[in-house]
Amino acid sequence: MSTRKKNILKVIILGDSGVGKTSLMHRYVNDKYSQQYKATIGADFLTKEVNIDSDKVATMQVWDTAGQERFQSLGVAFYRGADCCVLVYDVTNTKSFQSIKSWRDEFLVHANVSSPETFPFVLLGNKIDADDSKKVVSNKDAQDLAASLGNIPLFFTSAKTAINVDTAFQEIARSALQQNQNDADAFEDDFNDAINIQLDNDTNSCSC
Amino acid sequence: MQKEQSRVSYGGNKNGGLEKPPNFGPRNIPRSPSVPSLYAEKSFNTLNMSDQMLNRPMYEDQTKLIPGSKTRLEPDFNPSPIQRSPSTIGGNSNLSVIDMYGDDTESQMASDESDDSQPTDSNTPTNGISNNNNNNNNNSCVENNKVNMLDDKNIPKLMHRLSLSDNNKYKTTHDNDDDDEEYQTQPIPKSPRVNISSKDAENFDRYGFKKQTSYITEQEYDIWWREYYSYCNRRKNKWIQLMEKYDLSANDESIRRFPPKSEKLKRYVRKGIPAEWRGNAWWYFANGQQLLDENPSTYPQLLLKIDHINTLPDKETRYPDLEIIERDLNRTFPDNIHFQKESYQNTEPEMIKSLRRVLVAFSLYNTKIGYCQSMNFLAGLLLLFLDEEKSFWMLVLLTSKYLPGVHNVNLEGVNIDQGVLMLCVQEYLPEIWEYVVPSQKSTNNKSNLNKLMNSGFNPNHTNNKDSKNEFLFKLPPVTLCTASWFMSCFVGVLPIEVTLRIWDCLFYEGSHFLFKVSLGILKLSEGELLKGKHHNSLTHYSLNGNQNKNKPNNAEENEIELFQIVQSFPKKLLNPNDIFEKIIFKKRITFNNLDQDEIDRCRKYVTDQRQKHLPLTDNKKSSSHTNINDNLNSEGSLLSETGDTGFKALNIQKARTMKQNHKSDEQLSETQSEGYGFKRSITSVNWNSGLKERVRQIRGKKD
Repeated sequence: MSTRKKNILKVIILGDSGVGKTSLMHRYVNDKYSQQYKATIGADFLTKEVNIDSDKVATMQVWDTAGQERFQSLGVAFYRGADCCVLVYDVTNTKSFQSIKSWRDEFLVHANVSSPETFPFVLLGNKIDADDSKKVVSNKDAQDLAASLGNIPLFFTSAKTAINVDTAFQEIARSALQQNQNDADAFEDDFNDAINIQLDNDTNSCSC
Repeated sequence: MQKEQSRVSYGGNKNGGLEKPPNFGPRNIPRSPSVPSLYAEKSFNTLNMSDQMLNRPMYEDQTKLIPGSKTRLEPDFNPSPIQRSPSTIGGNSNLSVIDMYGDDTESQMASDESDDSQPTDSNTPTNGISNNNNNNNNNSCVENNKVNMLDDKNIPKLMHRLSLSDNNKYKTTHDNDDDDEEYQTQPIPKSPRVNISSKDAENFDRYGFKKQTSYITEQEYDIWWREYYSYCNRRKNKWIQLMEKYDLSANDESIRRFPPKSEKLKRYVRKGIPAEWRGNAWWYFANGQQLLDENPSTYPQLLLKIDHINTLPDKETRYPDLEIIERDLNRTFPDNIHFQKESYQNTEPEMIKSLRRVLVAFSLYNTKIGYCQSMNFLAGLLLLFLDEEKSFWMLVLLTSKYLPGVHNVNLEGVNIDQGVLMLCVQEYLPEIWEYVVPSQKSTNNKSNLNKLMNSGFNPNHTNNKDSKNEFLFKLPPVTLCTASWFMSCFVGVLPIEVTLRIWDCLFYEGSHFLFKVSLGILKLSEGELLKGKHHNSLTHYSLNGNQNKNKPNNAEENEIELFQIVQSFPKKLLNPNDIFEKIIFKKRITFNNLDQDEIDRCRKYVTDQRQKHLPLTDNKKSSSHTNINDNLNSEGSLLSETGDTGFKALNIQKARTMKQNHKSDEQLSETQSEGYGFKRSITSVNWNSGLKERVRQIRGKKD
């Protein structure tokens, strides 16, 4: 039952303005890239059907958010229920790298996740296609940061040239599904008793 | 004389006066978009005064670039539908266009052509061509002037003077085709744009936006435009008649004043201000001139300050907004020819420079707001219709008068407006409301029942009221999407012609129009939503029995669907009249009774509610604070997960709401008795009595 079940995985992309969140989302979902994306106001989302480990199917809901700091207060409502949070920085922009930690903290404060220590984050260093001369964030620094954030997966991506985007999102999907199932219990506690009767069956069968 | 001439051109035609409008339309329209109308006037002056020194070389360049297709070049720059349609006639390249315009408009076009008397351009749309040329020339001139003016610190005065003296000259030239030729010789700044291939010209609308979007094909656009174009011409004729009735100039470039406000004028505005007049009309209705007159040196001084800041080595750390603005400049209208680097041979477009100056100046002017993403869209659109300084002041007006607090650092104004919108949806669009709220506690088909239970469950109504208003401080996720509708006043959300019609009304009627339109969009999307609802309820029933997870998913799916529709539906609304004819002009649609007073009251109510709530959660002692927070944030989950804390939280919440009631007893007894402020504010409206009746019935049943 669990393998056939249509899971909805909610993935949220966070990061400073202009790091390429929208581009990454479109690259992954539509496999397209455009120079013509407009600044995101509020949030946009796209969905994509994903196969995970060849036997599980899920609908991934990718939420693209506005990067300006003040928009964080708007996003609070939809952080909840997230299954994975993607933190994006721009390898040509030090500031965007330095902001990663605060994006993560902000997310944890508002997402109300059951166990912050194990909640899946994925770190993406985007615009890896840029000239080496323009890259200002070293891989080493990125690795250190990923380690310090709880050994979270790190990918160097390019939405423009599609480098590593699929790979990264495969990992994102996998972590999200894992999280989704870990949370299944708490998730279903939201609902009334009549439904709770069936809860046991579901969790048992959900061992993937 | 000029007046008469214009009248003849517009109205003298047996086809309904369409013949000349094409000329006027394209000519004026392109100009205003490319450069603010004021500057346009000035440009005319400069033309007259200094002759066409710079322009000639440019013009020659243009012809060189695209030999023999001067006319085509023009269209590229000032892509106006009108131009295209005529151009197709007799042109080889645009056969498809020809077909499109082949029916009723055709005859008009033909007549237009003859009227235009531009024998040289027989290939291309005569009107369009001449107009385009004019536009280009004008634009270029304008840009030149603009640049110069910026350097000049006496901008406002200068502009006034110029506009006054220039009007006459311009008018005379304006109606004269020969004059067009003269203008052609003077295009400077726009020349860079000439690069665009003739093929590209067809891909852009009259403001320079790409016709095709991810949701609308170019063909769909062209088919729609053919009709809408005639509509615009008809409306313009009406406007001209109206203006003449009030002895006001109806000449595109000299329009400065408009008739006094009236029901009739409101209707005219709702049916669309002629595109060529838009900038001036917005400026007039928003009373921007007063602001400018009171602060004539503000903008020039801000520009000086910017110059100074640019010399600072540490400017980016001292003015962090600069970097964010810089990042957004090319992400504002990448689909607009006037904002594209490519159309300027890879030099920075004047529009981008203007946009930067306006945004930076604003961030220095209002440090409370600074720069907030979405203001780039507001300023960008303003710049297509007004000069830089006026755009700046309009931005000031938008962010203070029309959208107070919306762009502030904490975005509280957005939250308030979203709360107001949610109140409106709850009242006026109950079917959609079930989609908005149920995602939290019940699936759509259960929400009625839920409401019923809730209202019966709380005899004292306090809890009920609180939970009913919970969405005011814990806004539903869909508001993330609708927030952008308000922040950017629909720029980038709706297709451009729809957006412009809304802006017309926004400046004439006030910000409540944004709420009306938002409700209208939701109402129009209702069909799509309910389709999904049926589908979902079916799956819900069939799977509910054996799959408990289905239920959360169902609520989630509804939420996704709502968001998806709310996100994409507006982008397909190509025809402004869909929303105006089907919604705004329909008296029986209840939310059309919303007026500015009511929205202002709602805003106040929501502000009060949020203020009452926020201090309680933010400032209360730690223990109760967290509990309340948890309770509110996670809704039922905490309650069932850890029963103990849950109960505590519930109790605290109860205590809190009681305390709150005390407060409201003292302060807002009226409000409290009504449940929401919204109801109170609209008790006199017809629909409300019906609604009250229904509520009474439901309560009665339960009791």
